Amino acid sequence: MAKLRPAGERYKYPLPIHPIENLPQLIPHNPISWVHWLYCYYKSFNGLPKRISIKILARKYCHIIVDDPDEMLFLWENGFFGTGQLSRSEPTWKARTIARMGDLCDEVDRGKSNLALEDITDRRRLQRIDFKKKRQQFEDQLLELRRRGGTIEDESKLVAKERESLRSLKDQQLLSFKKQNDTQLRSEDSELIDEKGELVNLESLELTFVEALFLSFAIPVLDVSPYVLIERFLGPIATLEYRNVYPSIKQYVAYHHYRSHGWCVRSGIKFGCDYLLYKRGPPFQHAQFCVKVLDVDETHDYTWYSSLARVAGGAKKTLVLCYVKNTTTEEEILRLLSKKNLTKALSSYEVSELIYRRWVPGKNRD
Amino acid sequence: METKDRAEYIVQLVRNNLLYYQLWTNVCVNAEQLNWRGQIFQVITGRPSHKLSNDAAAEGDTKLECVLPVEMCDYKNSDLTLECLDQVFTKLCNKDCKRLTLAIVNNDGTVMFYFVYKGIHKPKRN
Amino acid sequence: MSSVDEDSKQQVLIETPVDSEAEDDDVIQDWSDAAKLSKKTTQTSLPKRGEKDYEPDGTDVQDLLLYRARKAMFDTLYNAARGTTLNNQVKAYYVPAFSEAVIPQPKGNFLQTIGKSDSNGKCWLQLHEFVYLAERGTIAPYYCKSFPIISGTENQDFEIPLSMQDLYSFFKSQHEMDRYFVYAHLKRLGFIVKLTEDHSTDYTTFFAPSGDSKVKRKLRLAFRSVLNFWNKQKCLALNTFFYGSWNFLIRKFTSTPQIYLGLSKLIPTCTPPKTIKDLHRERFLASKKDTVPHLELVFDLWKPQTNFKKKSPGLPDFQVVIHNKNDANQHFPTYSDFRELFHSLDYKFDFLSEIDDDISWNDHCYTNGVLRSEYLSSLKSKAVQMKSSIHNKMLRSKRGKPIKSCSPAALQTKRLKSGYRSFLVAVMDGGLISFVKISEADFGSENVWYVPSSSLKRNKGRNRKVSQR
Repeated sequence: MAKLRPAGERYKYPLPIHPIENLPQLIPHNPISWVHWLYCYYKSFNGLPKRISIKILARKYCHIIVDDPDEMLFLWENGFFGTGQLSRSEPTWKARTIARMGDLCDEVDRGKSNLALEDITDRRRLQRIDFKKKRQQFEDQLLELRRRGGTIEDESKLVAKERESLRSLKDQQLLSFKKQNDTQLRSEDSELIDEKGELVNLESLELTFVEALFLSFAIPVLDVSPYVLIERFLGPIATLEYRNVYPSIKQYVAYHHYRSHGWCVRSGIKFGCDYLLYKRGPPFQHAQFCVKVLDVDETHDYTWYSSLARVAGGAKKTLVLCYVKNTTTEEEILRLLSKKNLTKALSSYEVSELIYRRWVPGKNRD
Repeated sequence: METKDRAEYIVQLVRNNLLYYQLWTNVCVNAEQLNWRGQIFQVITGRPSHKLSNDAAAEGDTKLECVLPVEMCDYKNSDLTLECLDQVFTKLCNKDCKRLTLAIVNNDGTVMFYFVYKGIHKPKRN
Repeated sequence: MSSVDEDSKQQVLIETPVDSEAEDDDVIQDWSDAAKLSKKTTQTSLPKRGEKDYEPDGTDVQDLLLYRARKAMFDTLYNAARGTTLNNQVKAYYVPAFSEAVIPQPKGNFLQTIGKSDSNGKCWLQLHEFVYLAERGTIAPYYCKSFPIISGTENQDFEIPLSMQDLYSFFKSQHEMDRYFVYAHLKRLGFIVKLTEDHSTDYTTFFAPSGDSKVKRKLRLAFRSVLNFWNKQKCLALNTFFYGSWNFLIRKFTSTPQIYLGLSKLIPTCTPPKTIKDLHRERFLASKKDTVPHLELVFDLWKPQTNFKKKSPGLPDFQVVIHNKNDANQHFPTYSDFRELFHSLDYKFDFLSEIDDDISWNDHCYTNGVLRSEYLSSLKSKAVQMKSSIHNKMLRSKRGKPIKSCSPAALQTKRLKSGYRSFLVAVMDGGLISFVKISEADFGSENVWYVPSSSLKRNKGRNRKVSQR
């Protein structure tokens, strides 16, 4: 399966549009090679042979769905677009489910397969709960000792023992971080097998509005026009109102800005911000930046900023305030949109950035 | 009609998430509906595959959880008021249900889970 | 003393590195050993405590431990010697007409960083300095009924002692109070603090004195706007094609960076000044303010240092604005507010040292209109200067890795994370002060896309080897 390919090869391309790489060698003194080269150059094409089709579900709040397994994988592997609805990010639900149900792969194979990110997180969570349970046991003992009127010396002995034991538990947990044999079939799982005895694919890839707009407006990947997307999300182009359009435009301008400078931009919803910026992508590095997109005249109570910064800081990320400024008028933007000149409309916005960081006097004295 | 469509979509999404991603068992979409200012709320109950917190340390076994699917937009618009949650507790949940799990469906393909307690609750221990 | 409860929760686990997720600065001091400290031990800082108890467990032992910890704190506070020795006490007189205070016979260490002397050898204190010194017990505050005071005479008529309440009542607004609290807070932490607007000393600025030629400025501005317009049109033409339906049909991209370069022209970005030249140019082009800004720089801040020259302080390390969170007339700065502040900054632009290790600040700032290095040598204070340059060198070597040895990627990350010009916002919330550092960033000038060339070549090499076999 794709999983076993090394990440460097699997995520070779940062965008779904690939550069032309298969041009033949050009030999200066051989004119035939020139002709061949020119022919190949003429024939080759950056675009996709077939654009990816999407479904837009629901009428009021839209969900943009890609459900072909190959296309889902393609969008993930070429720039990390979209999120598997039953996964943390990469659509791995099917592979995980096959591994869990042990239908199609045998025991030996599964022992070797890499753990999905979701599995690792789960394991950590369980270990943490184990740890807390153990700690609770000790604290109960301590309480018992106190109630019986034990001396301070007895207590410190117990505390020392606790620390020792908790530490060894941690070490043990680190060692035992391997796949447990947890094949399990539940009665609920029968729903997952179709009449041919195969696993149904329950998972689709969901794209955010800005991702879909990028993949249709900026690079020709999706089988949809950007204006159709805008109409579905914001209403008929002829009757748009600026206050309804601006929030989405603002988000897109920031998204495009970071994408175009090479960042892998993903939703920051779990950190209370708009975007997370990854270098290359989630399999390679943790995101180093949290981005919050604001209007130049936007202001909030200090608590709003400090909450954002605390969450970002707690996850060892830097908070970037990204301000989007309209350099022309609201009417002009609407006019450009109605004339379907999205390019000019978007390039009328200017981006400026600030870094917001808590400053501790005691750490800045020398 | 529109609201109903949407409600069904996210309820189905959360149900699948609980059943086939979080691997809960006994997952059941309750039939009762609450119509709150034009929005339809429905609760899903189910048994988690492992303990969600150390809240009920004494009880040992995992118990049936109450999950309320909501859409991120509604959440952001602050439609989910205390009054509304109170209605959910009284009309859609068991009498002895102390904790509701919000399943917030975002438009980026993720579902986020947050606990909402009835009344004051001891903070989680880190 | 609202924090007594929290502070005095005695630890049961003395140290649990296993589970400590608290940030360093959130760890609270352990008072139980503070008493020993003051009796001249080798330790210089208070020991850190471990974790707090999670909840009351209902036992006497916990209560006892709690009681002991609380007592240790109060004993430490209570037993410390208070007040000043009468011989050392300096009298300062508040002069309402000037909202300042005067010390007729100045003496004491504080004079190194606080107050300004007049030609008569008297020392003048601004209100916040006066209150701060009085609160510390360094000076004895008096009210001055008539000015001038006959220096040196102990005339009882002129001496009305002031209480702390009296002193606080001299503040005319919430803003002045806030200013005082921030000042006192930073002073107590060891910083040297001056009002930014106070130019009474020999004034040092980063910016060269300019022959203020209005014509030149206007020409430059006009040239700039023409250039901007031209660039914009050029970009628009390029963009119109790139995002048109023909782009990927006609053009052939043979590498990913080519595609990225096409994409990155759509959204213009604001580039902050990054070099000495940029900074000077921006200052030169900046138009004079015609509106009153929402926020202004209040304090200049220097890190604690022994060779501080009060008469000509040099460039500050930080500049501070104050925002009161609970004042209905204020709002947290918008981007436009921030921009105004960035334009008015004049401090030791520390990001320049990130670019160049060997920047010598005295050659890049001007005191009283002359280059500071010249100014200093004319002061004949060479000794001091030597000392400070040695000090600087030592600082530099202490800072560790010189810039040049860092990899380009590491330098880029550093630029992205710490940004360029910066200042501090002191946020007042009741009595609590928190600080935020705001820096300009520039993601628009940095590209981080992945270029697979090296790994590809390696793969090709490997393939070749295989085929040879």
